[in-house]
Amino acid sequence: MLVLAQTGWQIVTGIALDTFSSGLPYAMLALGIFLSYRILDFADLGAEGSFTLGGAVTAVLVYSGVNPFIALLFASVAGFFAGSVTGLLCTKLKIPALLSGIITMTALFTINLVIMGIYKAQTSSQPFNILTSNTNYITTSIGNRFYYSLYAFFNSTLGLSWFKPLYSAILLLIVITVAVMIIVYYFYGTEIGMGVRATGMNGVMARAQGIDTDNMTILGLAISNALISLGGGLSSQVSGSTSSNMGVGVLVIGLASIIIGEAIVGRKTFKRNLIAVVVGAIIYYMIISTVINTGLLEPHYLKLLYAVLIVVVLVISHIKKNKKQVIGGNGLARD
Amino acid sequence: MLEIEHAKKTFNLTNNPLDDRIALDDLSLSVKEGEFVTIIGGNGSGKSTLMNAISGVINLDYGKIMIKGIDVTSIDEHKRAKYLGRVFQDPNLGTAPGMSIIENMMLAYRRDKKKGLRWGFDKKLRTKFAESLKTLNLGLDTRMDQKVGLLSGGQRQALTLLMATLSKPDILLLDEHTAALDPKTAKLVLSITDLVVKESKITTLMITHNMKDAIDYGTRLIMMKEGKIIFDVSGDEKKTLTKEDLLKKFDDDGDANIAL
Repeated sequence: MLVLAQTGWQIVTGIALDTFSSGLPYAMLALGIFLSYRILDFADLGAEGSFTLGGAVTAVLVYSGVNPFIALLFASVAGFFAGSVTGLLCTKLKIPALLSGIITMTALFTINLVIMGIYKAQTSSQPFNILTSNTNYITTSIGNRFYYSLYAFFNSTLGLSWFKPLYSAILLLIVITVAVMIIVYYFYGTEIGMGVRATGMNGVMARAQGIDTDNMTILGLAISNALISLGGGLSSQVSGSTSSNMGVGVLVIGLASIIIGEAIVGRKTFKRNLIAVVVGAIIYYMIISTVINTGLLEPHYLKLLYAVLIVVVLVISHIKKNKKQVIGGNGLARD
Repeated sequence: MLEIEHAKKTFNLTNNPLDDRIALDDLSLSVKEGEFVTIIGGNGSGKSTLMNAISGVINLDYGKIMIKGIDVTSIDEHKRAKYLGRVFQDPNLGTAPGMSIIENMMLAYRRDKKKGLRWGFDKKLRTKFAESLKTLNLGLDTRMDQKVGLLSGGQRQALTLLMATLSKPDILLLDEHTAALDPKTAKLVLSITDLVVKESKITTLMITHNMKDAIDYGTRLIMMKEGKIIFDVSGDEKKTLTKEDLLKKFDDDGDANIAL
């Protein structure tokens, strides 16, 4: 009986730890996707490439001895540029939005392999060749570096023996997530930030009010991809690994998180919407890690699970919306 | 105030020159400061193209547009916005639905100003905006923090009109801004328009499908057909103008494609 309770407790803590440590990087990702998909009304498929880009840049830099925080900064900058490219393709070269994202994503696949190849070329005597097997997979112990100092502080300095290394990672992730949320909230409340929001809501109106919608779209996508890359960087630091296909399916994760969050927390104000996205990502990851941790499914079923889950979420939100329509018209109060 | 010289614009959806549709045919127009011009004309007469050319939505094939003596012919739409206040036919186009009334007004207030990283929400402007909203008499001054998406079409048009004049434009462009509203609301929005234009003496161009409105409002009337101005009256001559005169003018040109 005791053994059973202990195993149960282990599973629960396992799920909780996994939810926060893996879920919070995805919350960052979801925030990024929120900024393009909801705020700019731009379905940016480049997200899959940017996420991997963040992971690759972080991994290579940390392995080269760069401070993990600085590495995250560089990851964000890399994402910022990737997003700008998508924006430039769409606004200045008039390529349709969906295609612009796909083009960036495709280009990033090679770029990501090259970046990961730099590390390979530096640390091994093998010639630089991105096609060599295994080049696209770097297993690191980045995670340890990331939170070691914090862990030492709690565990040794404060003498809290129950404090595990993973806890410090979660603590740092929470701090970073909240900091980014505050920055995003502030920026989208500034004159330029309001311009980005107006551009996404109504381009005609924005231009009539003297807003340069092209530049606002580029800027909005750049910021969105910076956050997505940061998410990828965090994810690679937590897992201690990065791979060329770590970005596959992140768009689905982001969208599902946004929809779950908005259904539970709501989207009345911008502040509330930001919180909704983070909460949505955590809940989404809780579902995923429950399924994996309890052994319901093998980990390699993960992407299938992502796909099935978003279908369920979309169908539920659609049914909810229809119900509202039957009860109260279109749900909007009109005089 | 506004000078248009030899404006030409041809649309063509195919590559076949036979499909050329001439929207503006060597059109020249000069509008003096403080004039309130009403523009009428059948479908496809080039009224909206004229508006779009002035606001920079489309570029002319040939010709020149000057506002306050500044050549704006090749200036981008968003850069021209500082000279222009615009209200559209579709009530959804003039405002950002997901933003509150006050946020929309903040955007409009900065139409002719440079945008930076300052906080976009100036608390000092709140009372000023509330006072402007009160003049509309629609009760919007008590709903300033509500999203514009919750407003009716008429309320949105009234708000858009207010936003267009919030930081005084050189020219106000009204593109059939009452056409999508029910008759009662249309009348209300039109009376607000008249009030605003008369009060701040803004140079105004208003397209309308309603001949009576075109006669009743404004100081000058222009009738367009096939990309040309075929009738242009102002002053006393316009005051004595009747609907029959206009109809006759239309019939003369074999175009009865206009709503009464």
